[in-house]
Amino acid sequence: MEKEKLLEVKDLKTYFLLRDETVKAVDGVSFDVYEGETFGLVGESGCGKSQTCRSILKLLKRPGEIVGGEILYKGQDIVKMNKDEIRNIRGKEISIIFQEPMTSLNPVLKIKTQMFEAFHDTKMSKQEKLDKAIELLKLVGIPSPESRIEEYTHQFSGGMRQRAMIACALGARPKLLLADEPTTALDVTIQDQILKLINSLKDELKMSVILVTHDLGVVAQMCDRVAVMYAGIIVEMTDTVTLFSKPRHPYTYALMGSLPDQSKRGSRLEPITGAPPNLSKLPPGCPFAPRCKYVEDICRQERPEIFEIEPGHLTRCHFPEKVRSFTGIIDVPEQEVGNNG
Amino acid sequence: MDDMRMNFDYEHGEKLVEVKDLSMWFPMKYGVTDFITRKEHRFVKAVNNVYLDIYKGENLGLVGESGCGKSTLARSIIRLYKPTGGRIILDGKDITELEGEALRLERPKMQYIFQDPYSSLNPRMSVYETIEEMLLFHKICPEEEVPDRVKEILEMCGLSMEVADRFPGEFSGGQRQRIGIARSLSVNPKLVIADEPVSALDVSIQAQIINLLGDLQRSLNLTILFISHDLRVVKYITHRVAVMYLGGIVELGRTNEVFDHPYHPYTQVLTKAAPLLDPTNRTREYAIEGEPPSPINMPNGCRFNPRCPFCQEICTREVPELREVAPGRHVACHFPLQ
Repeated sequence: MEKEKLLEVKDLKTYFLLRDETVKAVDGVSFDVYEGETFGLVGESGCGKSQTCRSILKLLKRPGEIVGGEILYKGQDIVKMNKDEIRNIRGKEISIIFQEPMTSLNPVLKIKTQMFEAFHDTKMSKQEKLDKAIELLKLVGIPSPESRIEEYTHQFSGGMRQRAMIACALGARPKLLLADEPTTALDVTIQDQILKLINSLKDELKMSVILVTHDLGVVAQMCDRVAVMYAGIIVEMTDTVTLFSKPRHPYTYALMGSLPDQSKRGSRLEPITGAPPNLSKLPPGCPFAPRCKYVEDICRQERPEIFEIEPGHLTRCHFPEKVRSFTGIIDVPEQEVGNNG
Repeated sequence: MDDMRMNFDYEHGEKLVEVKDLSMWFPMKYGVTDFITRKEHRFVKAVNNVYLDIYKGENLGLVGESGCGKSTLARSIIRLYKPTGGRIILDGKDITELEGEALRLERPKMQYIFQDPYSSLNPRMSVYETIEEMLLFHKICPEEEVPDRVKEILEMCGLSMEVADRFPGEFSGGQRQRIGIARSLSVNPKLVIADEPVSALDVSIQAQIINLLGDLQRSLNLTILFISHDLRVVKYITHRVAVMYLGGIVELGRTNEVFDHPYHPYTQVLTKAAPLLDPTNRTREYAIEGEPPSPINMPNGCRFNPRCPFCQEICTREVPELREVAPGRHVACHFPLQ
């Protein structure tokens, strides 16, 4: 890959320091995002994917705090930035869109007013701002933007709100878009529209996208590379095609086995037993050990390090030999895998 | 079991529920000014003229976008609403007009499993009390047999008697859903309506609940109306599926047939919109534009016509009837796809 790194996250640790316990929401996460790619963060609720995403813009809610690591955006460390410096990044260089647009848009302001915030420190006249905002709404596919820009969020439907939020986020032409479960609250048909929109905007504005989701289908359709998170750490990271054809971590493998599918009709699904661990009382060993089918003594005692099992394919498991035998849910001939990577 | 799932015998099947011409309209606010200006009364037409039979022992899926009336239809069937028009026949008995005590006596026959088990369980009642209340209220068993019965039901749903004294807040989502299922099944219902029972759960937990529902259906010979917007789950678990759009059923048939060869353009759109689990297959030849219209101002003719890629002149004039185009396959379209 000759593309340049846009964002480097190194050993990021985001903890929630409560009175009598520490919730390690993100516990040593490292990944890079290259220019022009869509990078997926996938995992179940509470695995730290959203907190990783919010940490990048320092949008953590109290008592959440970045306690360690570096986030290098174009070589500058976001973690060390003060409030004013981060403000020059937010919305201008890196933008974020959330799952539920109703709660992240302001219900008492017109769409217009909220969109103007994106250009608040430019020297545009009112008319210029308005034209720019209308142009953005057009770009995200809102019909008759001239009149709708005067409306309030409650007059928009779910899909339209998400489009409006994307328009707000794109106001200053960011280089990186963080999309935190952008389609989870939407119907499949609308989800399809929004995902397409994100894809076409990505090409048009030459952005990179970090897509946070729990839906492996969305990952399959959208992402170039993926990191699978579990209990605050990355357990596997590779390109999307490899992930689906050769999963190399027991968790990813089990996740794919538990997906209902037409081809599995009539047979029982293989659920992952148990429930995700409590992030304030993590076991000393591998966090997935209590639910893992292949668990052995060492898994309960020692946390495995992440290592490169195949070129460009990272995994975190004590038993590389065992995970090499896993087959994914798609078959890809050997030579094609490299091309897609 | 494979056979049972694939080839449910409808020709010899017995109907448990017959829904005939069911409509459910909710009146909109009609203020004094509306009265003075003699404005017309307006309604949210959530369900319109639906015909649907549910056979004993089948798992019937009900899919559609949010706001299409899936839940309203289900709630009308078990008489949580009094329908505006039409008839509902449950197990040979017309329950459309029942009220009060008479309706209460029918309640144990039909139960509802909710999407969010947390808000549907009383946070101040322990698991034991939750189920005990059902058993005593509906007089399912004499008081002295209650503890045994509670134990039996909990074990059936994969819970142990150890959880009985705990409260809903102490459980994870998956376990809460198990409690919700246990409560619904405690009264030996004939018809169970599962309204998005797994949508709020994570994938790994989802599979546990899906397996549980499948096992229970087989062991208790339950009839399930399974409402979901997740086509993957519906494809996996149901025998037949009804696709709803804007208050009406547009297609009905065996699950694999409907999804493999949709006759209605809307069904095709739905199946294509669901993201495939295959990163090598990203061809998305057509996506649908726009969003469903409001159920207050319905379009004339076929309700899908404003978004339909194959819309013709007749579609904007006449509402297509739901008719049988092949054995067991019903579709409401003037120009069914082939």
